[in-house]
Amino acid sequence: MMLKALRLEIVKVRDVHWGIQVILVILGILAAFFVSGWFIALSGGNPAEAFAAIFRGAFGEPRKVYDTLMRATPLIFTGLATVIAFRAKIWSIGQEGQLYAGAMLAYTLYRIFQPMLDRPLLLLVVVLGGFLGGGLLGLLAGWLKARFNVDIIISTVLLNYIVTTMLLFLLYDHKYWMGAETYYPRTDTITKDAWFPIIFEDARLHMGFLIAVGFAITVYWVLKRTPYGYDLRAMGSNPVATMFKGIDVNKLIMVTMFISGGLAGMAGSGEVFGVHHNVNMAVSAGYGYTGIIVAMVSELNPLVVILVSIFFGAIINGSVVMATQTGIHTSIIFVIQAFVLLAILISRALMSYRIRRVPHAG
Amino acid sequence: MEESNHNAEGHGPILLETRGLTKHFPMVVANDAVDFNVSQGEIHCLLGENGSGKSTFAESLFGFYMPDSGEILWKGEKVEITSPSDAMDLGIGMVHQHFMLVETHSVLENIMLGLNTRGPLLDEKSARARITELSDQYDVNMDPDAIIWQLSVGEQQWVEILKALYNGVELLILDEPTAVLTPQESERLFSVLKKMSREGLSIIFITHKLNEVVAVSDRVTVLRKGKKIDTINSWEITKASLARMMVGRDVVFRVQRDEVERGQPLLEMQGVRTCNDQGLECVRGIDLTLHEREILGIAGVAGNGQKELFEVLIGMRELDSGDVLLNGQPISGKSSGSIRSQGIAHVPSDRIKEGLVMDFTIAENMILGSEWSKPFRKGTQLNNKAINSFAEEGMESYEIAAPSIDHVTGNLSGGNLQKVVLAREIGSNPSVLLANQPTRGLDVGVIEYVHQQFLELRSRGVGILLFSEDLDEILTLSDCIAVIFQGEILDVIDAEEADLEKIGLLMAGVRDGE
Repeated sequence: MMLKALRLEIVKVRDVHWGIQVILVILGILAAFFVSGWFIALSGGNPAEAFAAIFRGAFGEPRKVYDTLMRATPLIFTGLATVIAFRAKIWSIGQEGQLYAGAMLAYTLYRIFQPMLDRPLLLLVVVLGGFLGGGLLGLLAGWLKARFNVDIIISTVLLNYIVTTMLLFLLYDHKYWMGAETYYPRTDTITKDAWFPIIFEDARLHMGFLIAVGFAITVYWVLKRTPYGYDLRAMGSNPVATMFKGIDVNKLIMVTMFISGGLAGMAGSGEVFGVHHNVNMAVSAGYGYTGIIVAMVSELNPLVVILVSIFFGAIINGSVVMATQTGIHTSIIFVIQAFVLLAILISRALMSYRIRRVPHAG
Repeated sequence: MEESNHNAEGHGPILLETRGLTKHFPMVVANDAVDFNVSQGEIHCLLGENGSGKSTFAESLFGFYMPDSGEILWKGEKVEITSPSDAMDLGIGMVHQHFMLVETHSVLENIMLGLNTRGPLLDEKSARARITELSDQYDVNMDPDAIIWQLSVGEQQWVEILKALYNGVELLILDEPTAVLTPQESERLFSVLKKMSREGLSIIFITHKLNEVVAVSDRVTVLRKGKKIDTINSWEITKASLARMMVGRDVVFRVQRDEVERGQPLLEMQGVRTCNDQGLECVRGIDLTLHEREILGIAGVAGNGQKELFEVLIGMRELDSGDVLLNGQPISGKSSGSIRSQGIAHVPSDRIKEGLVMDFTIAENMILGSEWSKPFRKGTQLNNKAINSFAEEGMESYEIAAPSIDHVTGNLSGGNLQKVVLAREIGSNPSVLLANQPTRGLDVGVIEYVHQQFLELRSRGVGILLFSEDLDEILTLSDCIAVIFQGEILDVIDAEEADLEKIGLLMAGVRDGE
């Protein structure tokens, strides 16, 4: 109403030039860093020093860059898992549980097949196990939705708890998975023949990153160019019309949840066989949830997920250096992540409106 | 009084006037410098095709939209109406096409909703008395305690009108009020409106039906593509001249219909029964047979089971009993996908909710439901070449007004949306076409084209089941007319012997000899 007095009105804008979009997003991220810097100052640190340390820690030397990419790998997978579900307007937040389910099935298969398979076959089994483990857990939530109309948000959140609690149970007993030479809740170290191959010598970046990039491109192609992707987008936009035109929406939900879960599960097998080389309760540093933020910031575009994951991976990786050099706790990265998401969402919302003068109102 | 209008003979002073009222929307001018006035005690029709700017104009008067330029004068004084409550304070009331009622509340509560009351308490007693008084005055039988959803659509409309009268309006705007009424209910509405106008109420009556203009109005203003064409006294008009003003060219009222011998039974309904979403039985034992080369029209007022029967036939609603056969094979209980793959195409009544994906491009919408079938899929991929050429063809033959086939569907107007649906469904080479209100919201010119397409399909052997509230459409196209009332087919009449009055009575549930 105040606007009307000033002879202004807010109108919706349909097309915004992509250049303006990019500038707005960059401004948004800068604003997020600015506010985060204020938080760092509040906690007694020097923001400029902290951000410089993060940057050095993330990109300071080639090895640091590889580590950043390694950190980005699980985020790409969980980000893609979110993209494919959210594009269909299936609000799955089960990526964290699916990640662990993938890790657990991959580890189970490793224990069964390690004695009898060669390295290439063993790697294949482990990778597929990751996909299958997460996928089956996703499928369970999808089936509950299709069969009993159980809300996906509820079922996936509860399954997250169930899976992580189950893992805890397995890891706390020598009868099950607890390592022979440890009293920490973790398994024995995995034999080297099942480790994911390293891409560059002397760095920890493993083949999972290449698989992740390959999957990002595949998901992009599936969404854009295949009838399945078409159905998925149609359901996301108008499920009623999709049903009227004879598409089996229940089947579509189950397939989509299987694929989404499978992608999240790949993050789990990647972390276990590429980074930690054992199963423990810290296999995921909240990657399932961060993946949701990654997907939202990427506007559910699978290719942008790669870039955003690297950006978030850099913050995670750099924060370790920041913590040792400046003494600021690494938890500040969650503050940064949250503000980046808020800034992107706000700049998105602002982008679709503009204020204009009302010509001769009355 | 600033000026008197020579056309407003026999009426009081001018109540409301607009000068050069203009409203732009992205890509279109909805109203282009419209000069308009309505006198006290006058019924003024606003006539135009869909998309001609009638509703936009009315909603500018009611404060829904702010005009970009031009001015509104109320009793000779310039006013700025920035919201519906401004309009109501002045004394302008509006009954929309879609009623703004709270379904689970009573008539009384709905009428009192949003009123400015003095003090913290509602004065139910005096409100009840006033409603009863108004109902008696206009001979409307209305129980103030009836719950809205229990009322028929016609009665709900009366609630809307009473609500406006209760507010003490001097100008009542009715947006296509007869769209949901039977012919008899419409007649009744007209006679009450005339009575109201004699008592000094001014009425703006928005319509695209020529008959109504002749029946009810004192003057008529014709809009075309946002521009005012003319304002004329109703006794000086003919239907043909109005149609010419409305469309901009001469209109043929009947399309050429060839005699075709009907063929084998295609789609048979045997004792079909089903329930609506509330669990009440709303299709109660329907037996009908649709043949090859036949258009079977189903006439009836909306809400008599057409939607549910349509959904049963396309596999979206379960049957409680009975059978549906296609070419002698049962299809009841099959999924919508398998029914569609057997050659049944369908045009749903709600194109936005049930027919289209608004975020998709036109090309994408043109293949909705066919994305897994042959020319549109090549291996694992969509075949963009086939999709694009199919879409281009549809866009051209249906004259869809859009920059390109890659345009987002949600930006199209209602008529163009319907054209996308029709192009897709007719283009899928069906053997049976089920069409629920296929031309609602279309321009006269396009309706003509669609009707020709339907007849063309019929001559190719397709059977068409046509659900329509528009009796003219039913009479124009059908070989056979079935009248549906409260979920039952009251009669099936050969189109040759059909007369409007008899069908109208059947639509209201009156059988011969009753």
